[in-house]
Amino acid sequence: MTNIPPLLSSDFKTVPVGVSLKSAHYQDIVLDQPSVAFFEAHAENYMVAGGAHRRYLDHIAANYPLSLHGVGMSLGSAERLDRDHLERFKVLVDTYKPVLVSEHLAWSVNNGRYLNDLLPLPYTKESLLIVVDNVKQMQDAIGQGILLENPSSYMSFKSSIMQEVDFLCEVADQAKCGLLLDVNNVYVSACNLGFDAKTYLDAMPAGLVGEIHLAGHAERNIDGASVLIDDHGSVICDDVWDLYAYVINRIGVKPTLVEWDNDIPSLSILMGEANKALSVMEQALADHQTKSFAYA
Amino acid sequence: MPDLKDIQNEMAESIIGGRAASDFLTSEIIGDGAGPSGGLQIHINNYQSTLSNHFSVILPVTAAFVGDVFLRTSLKHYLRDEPPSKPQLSEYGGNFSEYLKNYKACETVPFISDLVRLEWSINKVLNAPEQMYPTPETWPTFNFSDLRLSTAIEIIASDYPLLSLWMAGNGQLPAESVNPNSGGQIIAVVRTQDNGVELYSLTQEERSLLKRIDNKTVSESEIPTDFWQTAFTRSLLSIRN
Repeated sequence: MTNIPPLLSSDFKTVPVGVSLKSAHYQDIVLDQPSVAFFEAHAENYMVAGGAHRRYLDHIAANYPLSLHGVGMSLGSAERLDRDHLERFKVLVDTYKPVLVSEHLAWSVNNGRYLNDLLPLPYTKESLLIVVDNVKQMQDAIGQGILLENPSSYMSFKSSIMQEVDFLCEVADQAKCGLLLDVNNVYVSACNLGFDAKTYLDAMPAGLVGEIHLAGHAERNIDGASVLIDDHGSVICDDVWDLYAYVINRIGVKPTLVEWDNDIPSLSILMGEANKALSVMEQALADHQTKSFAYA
Repeated sequence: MPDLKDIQNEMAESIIGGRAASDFLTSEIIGDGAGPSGGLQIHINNYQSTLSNHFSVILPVTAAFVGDVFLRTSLKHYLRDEPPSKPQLSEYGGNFSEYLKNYKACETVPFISDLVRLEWSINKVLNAPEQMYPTPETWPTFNFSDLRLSTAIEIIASDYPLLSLWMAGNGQLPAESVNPNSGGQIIAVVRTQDNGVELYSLTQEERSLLKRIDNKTVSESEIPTDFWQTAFTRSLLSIRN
């Protein structure tokens, strides 16, 4: 097995930009061995007994650092976490030893039914207790700390008593987890719900952010209103690149992932987006040579 | 203030049922630009489109037979009546073929249920456990009792000429050359050693032999010589762990 370099280097010489691991790119990755700091795999796609997906993941994880990104743990569910799913997740963590593990501030399970979406929850004291408890349970089960990702929102709740970013920080503090800052999600939510994205980013403590996500979104007209949909199906828009530069300059270099889950392009296009993120980070490093950037 | 459980119950019913927000949800949700119903509608669309797309990928031949509109409509009902119980998409849809057996619109295309089962089986064997296959060269190093039916095989007995229908659906046979009422077939859906999938028609005798080998209810001397070649080249048997 190849020696895998650490994802983060304390001398800032390794700028950690990764891309989503998609089955459409397996062959290209194996043949071309693209220069990328890490791949991020959706954990649920690899919860299978065998076959090509697992064989490719075995190969890629032996040659690159791997980040495992869960989409089905349902950390915001009022019901208990699914023990079988926790066990499946633990098996993946034990097998592939990911450098990062992340999940979402969302719910998707209700009465044993899985809704295959990242659904919003009100930011109340009750929700806080539930999410903190579930994050702790997940971390205990897999034996590794996780990063909790901010969601894309299309609606909010009248019963919420705190802002999302404050809720996330409170969960991180009480559950001793880190945060995954999805800049596109902040932008989508800010446009849909009418808040200022930079104010949100300003409130995000640098020390809590362990990873950043970037992705594209779509604009749809729903009942006469323009709504941004977090579909991960296109290039990252200029506004999101600006917000990314803004936050990198504020909180320092962080492992950054370019996500693309629908209308998957060629690997070269995905790598092109990753190289843009690399440029933003390198520019930030050049601008702040004497500044001490925070690492999670 | 409503309980989180109450909110999630109401949202789940609306999303799975494809229904507009209830009065309770409307009073609880701030939909901002799109309004409470618009915000919820996005999640209804997400639920239906992502799961429907999942089926479109694994049921291309079925779609070719019944058309996209028919498939999407039947899936809409299936998603409402049989929502996923696990987050692994690869496991969702195993009972869609059974669901279609009682689906009224399928009465005129009764073989569709078996065709869905065949395509689902392709998806299933692709994710089956890894195993060791015997070859003519390695076979002498094993005992007969080490053999089992491959763990990456699905055997389907259909009242219809399923393999011929499947080949007609993906263009390998002219559609007009296949009569759905020309008799049944037994099909083996097999993941090969290089991760491909092959479909074979089995005789009743071959099916019975495979079952008896797996159950250890047959002796080595009872196996016809030519069966070994069939079993090895088609990856029908594997070595028991």
